[in-house]
Amino acid sequence: MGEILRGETLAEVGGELSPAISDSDMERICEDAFSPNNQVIYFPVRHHSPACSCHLQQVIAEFKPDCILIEGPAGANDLISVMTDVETEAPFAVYYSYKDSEGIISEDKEQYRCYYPFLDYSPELVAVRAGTNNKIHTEFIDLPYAEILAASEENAGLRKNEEKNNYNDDYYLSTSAFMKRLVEKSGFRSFDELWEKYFEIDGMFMESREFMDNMLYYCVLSRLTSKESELLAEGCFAREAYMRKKIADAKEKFQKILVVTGGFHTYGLLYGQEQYSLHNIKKENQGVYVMPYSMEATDGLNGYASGMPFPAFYQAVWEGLQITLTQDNETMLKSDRAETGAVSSLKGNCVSKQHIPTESVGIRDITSKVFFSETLKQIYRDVVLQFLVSTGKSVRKKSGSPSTYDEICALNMAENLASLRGKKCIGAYELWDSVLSSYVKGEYTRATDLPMRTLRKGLTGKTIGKLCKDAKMPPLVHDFNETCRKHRLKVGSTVKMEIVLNIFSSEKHRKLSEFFHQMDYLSAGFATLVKGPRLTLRKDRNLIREVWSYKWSTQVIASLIASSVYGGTLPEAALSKIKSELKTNVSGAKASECLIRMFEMGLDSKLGDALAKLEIIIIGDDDFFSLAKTFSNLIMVDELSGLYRSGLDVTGLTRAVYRKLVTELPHMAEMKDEDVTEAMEALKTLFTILEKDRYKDDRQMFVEALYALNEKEKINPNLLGCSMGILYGLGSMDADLIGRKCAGFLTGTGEKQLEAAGVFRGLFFAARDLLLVGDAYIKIIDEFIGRVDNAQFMQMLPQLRIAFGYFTPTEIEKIGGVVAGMYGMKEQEFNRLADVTPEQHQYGVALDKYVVEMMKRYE
Amino acid sequence: MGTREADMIKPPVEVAYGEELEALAMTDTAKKPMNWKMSPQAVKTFILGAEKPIVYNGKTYNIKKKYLGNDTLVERCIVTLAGNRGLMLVGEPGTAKTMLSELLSAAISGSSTNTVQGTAGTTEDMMKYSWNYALLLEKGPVMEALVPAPLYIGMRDGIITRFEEITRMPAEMQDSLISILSDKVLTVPELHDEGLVFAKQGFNVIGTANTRDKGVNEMSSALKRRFNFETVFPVREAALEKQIIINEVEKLAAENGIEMSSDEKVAELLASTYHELREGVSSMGHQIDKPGSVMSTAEAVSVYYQSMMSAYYYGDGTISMDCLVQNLVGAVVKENRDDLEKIRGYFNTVVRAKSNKEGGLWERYYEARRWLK
Repeated sequence: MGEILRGETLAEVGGELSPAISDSDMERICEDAFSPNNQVIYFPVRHHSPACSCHLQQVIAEFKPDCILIEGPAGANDLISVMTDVETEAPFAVYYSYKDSEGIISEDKEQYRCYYPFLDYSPELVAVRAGTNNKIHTEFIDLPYAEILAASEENAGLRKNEEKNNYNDDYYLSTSAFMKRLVEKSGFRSFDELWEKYFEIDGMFMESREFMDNMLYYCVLSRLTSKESELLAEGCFAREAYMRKKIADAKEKFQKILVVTGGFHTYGLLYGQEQYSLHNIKKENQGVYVMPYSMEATDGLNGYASGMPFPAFYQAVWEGLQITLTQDNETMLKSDRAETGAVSSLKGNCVSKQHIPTESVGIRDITSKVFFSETLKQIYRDVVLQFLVSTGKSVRKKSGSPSTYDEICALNMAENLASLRGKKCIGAYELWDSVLSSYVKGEYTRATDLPMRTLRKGLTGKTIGKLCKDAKMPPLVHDFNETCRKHRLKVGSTVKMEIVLNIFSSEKHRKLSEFFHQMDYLSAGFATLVKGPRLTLRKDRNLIREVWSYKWSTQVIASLIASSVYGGTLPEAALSKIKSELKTNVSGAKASECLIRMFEMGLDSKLGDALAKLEIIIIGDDDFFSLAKTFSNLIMVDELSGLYRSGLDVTGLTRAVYRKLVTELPHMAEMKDEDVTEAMEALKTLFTILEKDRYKDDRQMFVEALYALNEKEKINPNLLGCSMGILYGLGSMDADLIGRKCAGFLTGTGEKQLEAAGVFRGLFFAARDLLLVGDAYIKIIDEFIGRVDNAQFMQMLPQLRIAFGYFTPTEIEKIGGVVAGMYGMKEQEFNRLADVTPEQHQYGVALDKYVVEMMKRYE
Repeated sequence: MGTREADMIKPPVEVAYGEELEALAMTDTAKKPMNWKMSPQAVKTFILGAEKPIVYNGKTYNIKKKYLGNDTLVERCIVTLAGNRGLMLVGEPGTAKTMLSELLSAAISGSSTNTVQGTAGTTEDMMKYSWNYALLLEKGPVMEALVPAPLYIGMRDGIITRFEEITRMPAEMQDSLISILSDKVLTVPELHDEGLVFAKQGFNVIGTANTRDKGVNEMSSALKRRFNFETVFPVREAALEKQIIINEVEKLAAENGIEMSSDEKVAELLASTYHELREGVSSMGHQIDKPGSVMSTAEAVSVYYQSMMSAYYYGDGTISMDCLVQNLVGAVVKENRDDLEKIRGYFNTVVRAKSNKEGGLWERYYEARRWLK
């Protein structure tokens, strides 16, 4: 025991952080946990560990339990048949959901969900498969998911506010200050690297009992150095109390019980005293399903705290181990037959990637068996080589290197690093270092890190699990299937289909459109809008048809299972998702987009309390740009409600936003240049809307706000021009007054003169007709251009270009005509291009070609 | 006659740590690559330190960690040097590339001075060999007249040859290494049959290249292929940076006879300044404009040491904040006056906030901002 301390005492490693536990205490704990004479053997595991799984197989074969109890929410017991079905392939996850409609967890009555992922080499799955294959009573014994939530405090354990909550408490093993110090003192980069050396590699060279001793020693250290308050907050004690109760119940019925739990809990299961009373939680609010999962989602490096990193690497190691163990067993069987002529009881066990037969693994004399050292080294070496070659090949395709010699050097590097680090086999970290050292040429930057990105991807893997036909599906999936059947959509094949919907003329098409929008909103990857009005983007609103493409796949079902936490039907799920989005700190603009989405999904009539929430968010928003977007979105909803057959009335809300917007307007005077385009767009939108007769009573307020803005001493020139243009458009400012103001800038000093271009830009953006009424403005501009020197003109040119960019070609022609007249030229003359001679044309073509050639050279 | 150790400004690693190296070599029981002075494990121990002391000849040696940074990088370097490829350390200035290459050479070959110092003027004879012209005229091209250069010596004796700032050398000079690193043989045509120098076991090359001044990208791909590259990144933790400053300054002080111990709080303050300016964000969350010049740990050591010397020779033995700020300005504002504005901005936001919050040293540091000019 205590190899991880590397010959030091606990005090030497952790100082004041060290737990007070002696070697004799540890021996006693180990005896209590797995003395061969005990009725209950507690096997401590880490989720997703091939070494734990291998030793677990050995222990099951030796101990021959008649009951296996596994850590995992009790709700999954009905799914064991699905999990062990021959058609089911890992990775898969048990998906738990709970709808807190009674407010047992919190007053917010939220929905909760979590995943419990399984890989082929997860000890829990190995235990479940072994139990089923050998007809041993097998049971998950943790608290039901809803009870774990009830036992946890807000933002702790499974109630953490994370994108994805995993039922996995491996993090307990590495988070205490003592454990961090241990990792640091051992010179490892991370806990996972320490784990690989001492447990995945060294552990495989040990007898099972020694491995379990070490495992428990480490787990007890992490347990004793964790904060009790945190364990309490995360519901750890409640879970252990429930598991203890389940074990006590099993002791009444079974003779030999094997308990497979995270090693962190073994101590609590042995000596815990706490009690826990269950809540009366309605069954219909709880959902448990098995769903296909991906290697990517199980990778501990992907931020979901889901387990060990590099799943594809350890999967390859696991497969290598299983093949070796099977061959080993076959050899033993042959010698059995030769020696005794007896027919082995192992007959009929199949060996496949998914179904590892417990009894086919070397059974005899296990306590004295030391794992096949040379073969094990070879397994790790082969896996490392496999990744070196596949990474090399993939990188070579894209960048031309590394060479085969680089690959040889990398393997050499990996082997020598393992030796230098005192590792018996080459692990994933040596593989990583060898690729970094041998494949990356030059400084390690984003430009040269392709080998590392490729390796990282390879180590994660891309396998996606598969479920058997009998797997139970949540109501949401049934609703999806039913809706597809009702609309005669082709599902069940992965061919992409396209459909055209007359959403305004056909009630049936509108319903189908709502369904597609709901699927799109739930990110199910089923339907894509190819063409049609895109209201949230404010694009193509004039289109009267929608063209959708849809494609069924297993991923669609997986996404729906994941979304089933939001509700049993698609409308319910979409609405719940919208509501949960509104709970986060969204802006008014975002909230109004949610309203549009509800509108598209046909859910606006089902809004209920969500509308009140939405109103609070919108009214509480003080950001001018967000308010302007909100206002525009609300107007759109208001205008389209008839067409979309919606009864939604947003008039009151729209007016409230409008009032807020005009109140904010005068404070926007000193705007940064980068925000000015957005601000002018907002003003113009307001102007366009208020031009309409139905809003004429609201104009005066806007005019006053614009005047207030105009009178500000420091005002962005673009915004000044724009506000004057709008006032002109609303008939509230005289063209002469605007002309005088513009002239004031043009004849001003230094910087003020340069601001003139900005004023014109804003002015023409909002009211370009000013330039087309008479020639007064043209004369002002002409005079101005005549007065400024070349350098000043060049400085203003970009703004002037934008200003004149707002005119249509016909208008430009008209302006050109006026300018031509001012200089005594005819319009035709002014506009006519000079004739180009054939020589000139030829020269031009040659010049063009030359420039293109030259530019290619410098690409 | 060589300079005595006590008179050297900076004694080479094998001299400074001579006893320690000997103790490690003599107590080393692991397997050694041919011609190495010690095993890879012992080299690692020499550079990364040992938790337990070693006893040799009745004396106890506490092997301290000499390179504070990425431990796995050191391991990769050691393994690379035991293999077929050269080692190329690249990174920003002041990230201890040279120090690491010296430590490696001293531990592996017992010599860190077999070095080519790369410049634009480096020629082949500075790398390979040249002639003693008096002897050449008298006896013709004979071995006696040959003056071996570091690459020749490295190959002949089976030791490491260091190339400092390899990317500063002209491309032709860099490329002359290609065939030598592949074939492990150096030809001296003038000596005919006698002129083939086959590299002895133990020979290898460590190059260092600075990514700030001249890009390693300009290195030919043929040469790149003959090296394993290791990028040395600046220290990412302020606490570690503080420790480096203290270690280095104490070493410098000891070498130069300055009897003054380092002030941990000043080192912490300086490490914090360098760390925050380099990362662009303060420990309190301020977003900071990063200066254009290099904010390396080596520069921080130099600023501290300069301030320490001023305090020792001209002051009362305690480092004054005025002096520290003056040296900081000198170190940071080199190429671009805009950097001064950035430092001033740093003082007016971060240092001011820390001065209000923590007072004491930070307050005096903030008061010394008048020297930011």
